Amino acid sequence: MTRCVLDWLDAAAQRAANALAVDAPDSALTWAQMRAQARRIGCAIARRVAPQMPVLIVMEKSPACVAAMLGAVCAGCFYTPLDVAMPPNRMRLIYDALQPALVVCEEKHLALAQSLAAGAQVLLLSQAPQAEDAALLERRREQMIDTDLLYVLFTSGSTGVPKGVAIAHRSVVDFVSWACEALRLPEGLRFGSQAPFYFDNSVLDIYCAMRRAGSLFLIPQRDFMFPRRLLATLAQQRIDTVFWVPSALTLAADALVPGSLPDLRRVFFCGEIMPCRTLNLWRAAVPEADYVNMYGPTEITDVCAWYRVDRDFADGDSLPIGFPCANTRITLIDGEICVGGTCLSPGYYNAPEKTAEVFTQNPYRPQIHERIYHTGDLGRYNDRGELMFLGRRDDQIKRNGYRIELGEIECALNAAAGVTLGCCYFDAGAGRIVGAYVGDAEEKALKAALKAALPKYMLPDVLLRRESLPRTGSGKVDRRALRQEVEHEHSVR
Amino acid sequence: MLEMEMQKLLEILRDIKDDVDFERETALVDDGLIDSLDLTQIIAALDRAYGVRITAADIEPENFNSAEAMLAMIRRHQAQA
Repeated sequence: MTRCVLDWLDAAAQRAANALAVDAPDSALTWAQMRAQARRIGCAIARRVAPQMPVLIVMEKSPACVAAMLGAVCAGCFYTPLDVAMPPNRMRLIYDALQPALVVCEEKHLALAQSLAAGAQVLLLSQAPQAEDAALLERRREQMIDTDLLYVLFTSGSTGVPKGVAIAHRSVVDFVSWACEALRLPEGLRFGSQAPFYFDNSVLDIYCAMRRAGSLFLIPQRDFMFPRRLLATLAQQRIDTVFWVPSALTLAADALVPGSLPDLRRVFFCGEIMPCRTLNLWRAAVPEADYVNMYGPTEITDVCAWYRVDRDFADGDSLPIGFPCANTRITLIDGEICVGGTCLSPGYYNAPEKTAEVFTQNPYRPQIHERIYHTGDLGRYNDRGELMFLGRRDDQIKRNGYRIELGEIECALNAAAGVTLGCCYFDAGAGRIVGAYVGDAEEKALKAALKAALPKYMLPDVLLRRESLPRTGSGKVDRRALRQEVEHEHSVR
Repeated sequence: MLEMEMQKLLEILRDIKDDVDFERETALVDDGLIDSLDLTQIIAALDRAYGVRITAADIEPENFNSAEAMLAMIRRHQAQA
């Protein structure tokens, strides 16, 4: 039985040694090369740190980055890929939460890695030994158990500090085994990868490609700006499987030409609500493909519910999120989607209080310790027995598939000089985050301050200076009332 | 007239991103000065300000590499309308 994802790496390197594993326009690794590189990096890591320690990967999305991630695993450690484009202040928050034993990078990011590490060890990929120490790797592998962590991915936190979602080997083994069967993934398939490695949709891309000894083409980010170029890349690279956020599919939808993507067989999506208009455009242009809507937060290992599109929908319909994945249980408690199973994260790294808030005892099983995760998402069953997503019960939003806590933006607003009180809301229709504040801060300076604290996708599109902000009965700033005020003023103007 | 139109466009662009010299840069996309979030905002702003509907066929690097190219694209749309 597979205990660890490295079993799949070994198998792929045997079955498909010289086939492409991960490639990008400027670099590529075959499965044999991927395994060899990962093992050499693994030796370098194992010589420096103890097993089960966090390794921070400070690299851009590339084949070498996958080798570095797997290198950490070969050493019996777990990895966190860092978004190298995020503001240094936020990197620091992630670094402090993770307390990595080692930072791995290439020359390009050495200065950044060193400034982050401040005394901790930094490993340059070029320092990995030329030959592997097989005995050392074997010892690390023997010590591993399947509840050891594989990765920690950070998501937005409502108190301003990103949360590190920890995931164990067994959850990924369980999830990927399900995905390969349920999604009917063939041996040697070719993925067109959209998700950044610090985003959990990449878990399906990387490990299903590995499990099926297929390949993962890393589509250049710039292609996602230009629909026709993106579709040309899919055709040229003969991509047969995509697992994208719906915004990326929506971007390309209007440029689709029937018959132009003869290789594409599987169109999967997850991360936000899929508009049926987008789905219909894709189905019209690529009718022979399988379309699967998936749902799940990072805390349950990428996906916990799925729906294979099996009938027609009008443009304005809502798409079901369907049914739980195998070996996963979904329970609605007061309308909230709660999840149990092997897929569950053991919790937020270094944050037991935050963990206790949302990972709780299953109230329906008081006789025995059984954990469930409260997603904060609201759901209901339609009359076909399919689960439907209804929205959030809190202030988390999704923009371009990114999970954002409005609270994190407000923390940054409130911390900025010249702001005495800040608040923001999301106008989903226009896709805009509207920020409002009281204080004497100039808009330009405030924008710069927010840029230094928040990733770009969290920045408010509009900043409004106000005399005061509306309050709720309990004295908290009232986002809903603020939105009504702002929209009323605009309609009057 | 053309100058005034250019000033209006530059103002719109600077509002979205104030650390780029939109007046002089001619490789905004090719040099990576604007990314996908910027582009989405620019397209939405042009739609609003000029009442043109920018379609998938317009969203090509050469139409967004400079303010001049964007203005030319807007004028093509206005001429068609």
